[in-house]
Amino acid sequence: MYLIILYLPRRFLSFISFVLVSLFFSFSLAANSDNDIYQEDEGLHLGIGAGYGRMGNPVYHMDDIPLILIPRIEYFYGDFAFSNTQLTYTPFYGENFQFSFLTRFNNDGLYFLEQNFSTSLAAATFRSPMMGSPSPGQIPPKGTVPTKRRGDMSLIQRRHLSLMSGVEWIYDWQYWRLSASWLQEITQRHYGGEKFLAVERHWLLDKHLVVLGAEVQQQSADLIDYYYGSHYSDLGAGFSQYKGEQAYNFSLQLKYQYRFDNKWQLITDLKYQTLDPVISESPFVDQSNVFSFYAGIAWNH
Amino acid sequence: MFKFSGRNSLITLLLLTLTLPTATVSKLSFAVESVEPMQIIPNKCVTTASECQMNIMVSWQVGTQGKFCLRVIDIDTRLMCDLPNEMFNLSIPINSPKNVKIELLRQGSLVVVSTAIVAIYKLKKKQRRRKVAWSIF
Repeated sequence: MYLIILYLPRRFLSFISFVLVSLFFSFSLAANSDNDIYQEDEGLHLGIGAGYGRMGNPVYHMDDIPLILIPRIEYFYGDFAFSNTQLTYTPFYGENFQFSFLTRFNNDGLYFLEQNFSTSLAAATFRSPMMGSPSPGQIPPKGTVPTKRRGDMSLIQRRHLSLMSGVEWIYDWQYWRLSASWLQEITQRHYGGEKFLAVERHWLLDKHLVVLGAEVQQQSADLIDYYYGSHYSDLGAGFSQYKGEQAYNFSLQLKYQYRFDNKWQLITDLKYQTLDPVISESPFVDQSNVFSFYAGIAWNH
Repeated sequence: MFKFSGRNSLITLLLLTLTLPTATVSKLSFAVESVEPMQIIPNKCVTTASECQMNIMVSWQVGTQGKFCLRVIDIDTRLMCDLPNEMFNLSIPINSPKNVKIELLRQGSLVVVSTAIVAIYKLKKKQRRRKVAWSIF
């Protein structure tokens, strides 16, 4: 049995240990649950968070994305909800479940955002593949690229932000929330899709709120290839050939919030994500994990 | 029998002096309306809508005879006149996003005899959210 555990992938073991730890806490802490944390008064909600944080960026030669001021622009009206850039329509719901149509931006596009400002020029200065680079027709199978060859990130083909739309199902049970979603790209950049399966558990103790979550994200080959695969112009920029395939990413998330009063609260958010080797082996990626965090004071209007 | 002597005149004057203020007070008290506070049922409205729509029952009793008007101030002002000095459960529809003021006035002089307020409390509807507020990632 022990040997079997040893042979399991390390990131899968991390995921399992997280579930075990959270189960332990769920029985050992005397928490009172209140699903109000998943409810909001109808109407407009504005706020701003000020603090410090970083969104990890696994892309080669790209800095982590600094987070200083976080706006909160949310509007809830009937079955519709707008939360910063996410739009949700929830036509079916019950005591413990909700089924929504959801539109949101894909995170992978954010990793290339800084570079996007300079790549319009790069697209115009297209160069032919460098000597020794495999031609686009000779695409090696997944995982067979022996070495990554990297070139000039400012010359790679532009990766756009993509808008995803799909459905989400949420089920609440006591202090737990289980959610599953399926999203498809609608901006015709890569025609790819994403699926999420997430579980989170919360503890609400007076003014303290702790939320612990785990998520499995499946990203389609089209999406991975668009962001992490090599395009013709990328070869010209000096990057080795790479073909993206379907990927599974695991993440753990921890939030802690302390509410001073109705307007002021302390907010913290941590996320640790392990990237599928399909992504981390891309010549455009130089990390296999992404760590993001933020801590600050939020003011609600 | 009753001699209006100088002494008597003095007593009469004294009596008059003493009784005159009483008479004046009595006359003044007669001028103040004997009004029971206007009763409104219900006098509170709790709603999740943007406006409170309901019928209220207004009752009043004024000691003096005469015609009266009822002024209802909600989203606009309505004046209903030729009302009697006593009324029991007059039904009035209200439709207002804020507190409604109701005044009973004496017709003609439009002097406010009694005032009451229907308090409106708005409860915001709760909506579902995907994630806890201030989820950054």
